[in-house]
Amino acid sequence: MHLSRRAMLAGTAASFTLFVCAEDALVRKVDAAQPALHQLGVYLTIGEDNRILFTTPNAEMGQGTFDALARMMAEELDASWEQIDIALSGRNVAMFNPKIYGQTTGGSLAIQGFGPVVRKAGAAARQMLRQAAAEQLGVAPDAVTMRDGTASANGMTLTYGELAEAASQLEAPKDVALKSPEEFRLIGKPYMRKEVRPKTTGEARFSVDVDLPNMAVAALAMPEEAWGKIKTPEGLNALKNRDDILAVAPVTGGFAIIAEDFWTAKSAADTLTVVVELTEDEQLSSSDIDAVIRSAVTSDKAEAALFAAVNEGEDLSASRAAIADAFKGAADQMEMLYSVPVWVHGALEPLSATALLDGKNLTLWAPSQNPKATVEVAAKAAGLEPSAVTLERTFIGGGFGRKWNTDFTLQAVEAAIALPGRPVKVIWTREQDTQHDFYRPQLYGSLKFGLDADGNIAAMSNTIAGQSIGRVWSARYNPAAPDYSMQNNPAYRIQSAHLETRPVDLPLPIGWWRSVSHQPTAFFYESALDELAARAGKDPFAYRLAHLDEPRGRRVLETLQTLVVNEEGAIGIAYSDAYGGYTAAAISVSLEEGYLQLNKIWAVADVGLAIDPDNVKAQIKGGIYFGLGPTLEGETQIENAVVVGNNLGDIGALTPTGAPPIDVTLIDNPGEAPAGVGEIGTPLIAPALCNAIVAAGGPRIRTLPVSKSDLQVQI
Amino acid sequence: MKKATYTLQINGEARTVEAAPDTPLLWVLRDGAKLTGTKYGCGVGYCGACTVLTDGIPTRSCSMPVDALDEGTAITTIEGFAEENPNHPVLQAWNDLQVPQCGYCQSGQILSAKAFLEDNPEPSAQDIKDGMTNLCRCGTYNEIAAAIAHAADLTKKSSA
Ligand code: FES
Ligand code: FES
Repeated sequence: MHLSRRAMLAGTAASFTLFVCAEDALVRKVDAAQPALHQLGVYLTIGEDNRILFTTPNAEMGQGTFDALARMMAEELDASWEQIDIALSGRNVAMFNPKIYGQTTGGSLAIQGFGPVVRKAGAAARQMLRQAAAEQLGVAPDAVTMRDGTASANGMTLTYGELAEAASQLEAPKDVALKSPEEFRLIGKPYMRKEVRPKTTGEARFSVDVDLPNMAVAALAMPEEAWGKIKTPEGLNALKNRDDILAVAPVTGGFAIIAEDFWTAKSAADTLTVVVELTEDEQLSSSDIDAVIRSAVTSDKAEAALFAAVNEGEDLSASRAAIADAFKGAADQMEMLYSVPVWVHGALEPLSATALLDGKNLTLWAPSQNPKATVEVAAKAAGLEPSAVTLERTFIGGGFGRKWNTDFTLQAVEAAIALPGRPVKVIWTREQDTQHDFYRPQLYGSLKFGLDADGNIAAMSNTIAGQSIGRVWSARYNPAAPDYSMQNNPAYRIQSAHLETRPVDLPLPIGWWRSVSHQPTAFFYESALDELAARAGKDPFAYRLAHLDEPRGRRVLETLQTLVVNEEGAIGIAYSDAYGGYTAAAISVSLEEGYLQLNKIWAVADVGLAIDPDNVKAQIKGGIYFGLGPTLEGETQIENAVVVGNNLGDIGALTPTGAPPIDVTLIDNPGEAPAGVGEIGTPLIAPALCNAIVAAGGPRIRTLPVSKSDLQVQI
Repeated sequence: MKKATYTLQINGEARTVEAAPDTPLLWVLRDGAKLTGTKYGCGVGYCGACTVLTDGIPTRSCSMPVDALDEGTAITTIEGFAEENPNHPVLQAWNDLQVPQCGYCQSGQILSAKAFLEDNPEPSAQDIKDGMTNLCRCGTYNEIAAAIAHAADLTKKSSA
């Protein structure tokens, strides 16, 4: 970390023009001509007016890290929460999350990765301020008390604002000590999230809300097909001659029709029918995709299968042979074939981005989870160096993994190139957002269990086939290593386990979807566990606990058991360890004449140190609901490359009617590192629900969604 | 479609906008009046992100062509509501319970909740479930239900 004043002057100008939460929680623009500002590291700017601006490295898409990271920094800085403002960062290479190897927002790694980084940044700045105070007050640094944005000694007090200039000229300390949980005044305490108020007044700015002087707005003409070679539509040239159309630009994935306002642009774009050419191999429907993946998972051959073993480095045939041996010794065996379908992200804010090409500079306003790739893709399209591209991030109206991709920001750049000197905002329609998603891929899991004489698991093999997100998108994908985008290790103690992944190539675009492989993996394992418990005549809690060593996980399950033990109705449970946390959920259902009624959900989580316990609970609930809707009714139908059913009513988006109350209990465990919480709720709900359906006398559902069975569901 | 001139009563002010007659009120508000608190979610009247009040009634503005509005209809957007009533029980409850996650649906939720509570000042949990139909993809439904109950309490206390 470089904390010199020079570094500050070089690195910050951009952050002052971003949207900022002020003390009164109104979104305002910080004026660069304000009282002198002093930079302490890449994250912190202290004004002589005693306002502290924290530039958050991460995207904010509803997960709450905008506030939580600021709070972690402010805790170590000993600032008062009231004096903190927060700005969204653009692309900044100095903001490096060691857990995700960059600035990307994903993998529930903000608090786990950036948390320690910004705490150290706060602690370092505090030490510099303390040293500056010691010099000005003529005392030893140890004699200075730091509290609520002030430094005091000998009855004299200086504010951080008064100390900022002197502090910014000191060398940054190399090592800093962090507080222990007993010393916390902000972390874990109920404070107001600063982005709440502007999100209740209409002032919070999302990407679709970007409004700039002289801005034009583009709508897109895109094909209905999710893949295929796009042909130039008839009528495109005629649009160019219309008075109300400013420009027409071919963009990646379609055509941008640019006008002064969205409705004019959209009405013009709607006059075009964009068609594609599909090769014979590309003429696929859901049933074809299903058949390809099903045969990949069930085929004995699958020689091309990539392989992931519990022990990295094991070789495929050796591991297959070892598991075959283990099955021979088993008293009993059970095999099951599970699957999850293609799902849509469906963030409520459709994709949108704004770009301005001004001479040799490109500015991009975007809701990006992935600043590095966003800037690099933009630079390439504009024929510029990445250093000539400025990214201004907005709040994200729901990401769920979709806004990691750069397709929509690229289109904004391509549209801006067609109208240089004017900002161009591109807005997708909901239908386009649904039909051109990077979908959560369909996966099949073929599970086989070898059981001992007590019905406990002695051996297990799990082969998962489908499109691999890691193989398509991860720069660090290693075909010889476990593919965690397809499956995860079981949470339980199993003597012999063989995990195999068989990636299949299909033209359907796929991508990261909230909780990625944890959703299918938990559905497969946690449903299977109930099947095995039933076979052994054991209670689902007892059966899980008999296979679970992790004390934190055991405590979560035992706590859940005490919560539901006296509940009436059919209860189903599930357990998961993901993203550094331990979670379990139960759901109570009733089943009458084939009509499934959801009564209540309980979740218990040990997330270690909870930065903002209320937000942790809200995230777990949101994650559960996000998984519940598609579990019930999310079935993405593809007909000859077209995703049919293209609005929010078609994708298994949960409505208030389908949302049973959720009660979340957090295990107090502040001594453990904080887990990521944005995704941990999602994997639990499908298995818990399907287990509850069986408990209610319904069928065992091995293929999602539930609506494919004979049961009537309501979302 | 040829553009026409409309004079709308938005947040208590007369605003003149140019728009094609089929332009949904949503886009007139966002692009014409520069009031972006009203959101586009689905465009087909399904999600409620675009909810505004027309003469006090919650209206999905994506499905209301500007030409179909009666002259003089009082349109209230989230901006107008929050500015006029910064301490309204619904806003206070939304902040007390920190309802928003991504926040994108919340303008529509808040205006729907305000109208809902005017019709039914002491709703049961079931009333809330039946009465609030706006989607939230982040899943803030528990918090919304609790905030509506809290707002009802606040209103009752303040009028007691
Ligand atoms: S945008 Fe109007 S109801 Fe969804
Ligand atoms: S808070 Fe994100 S959609 Fe409701």
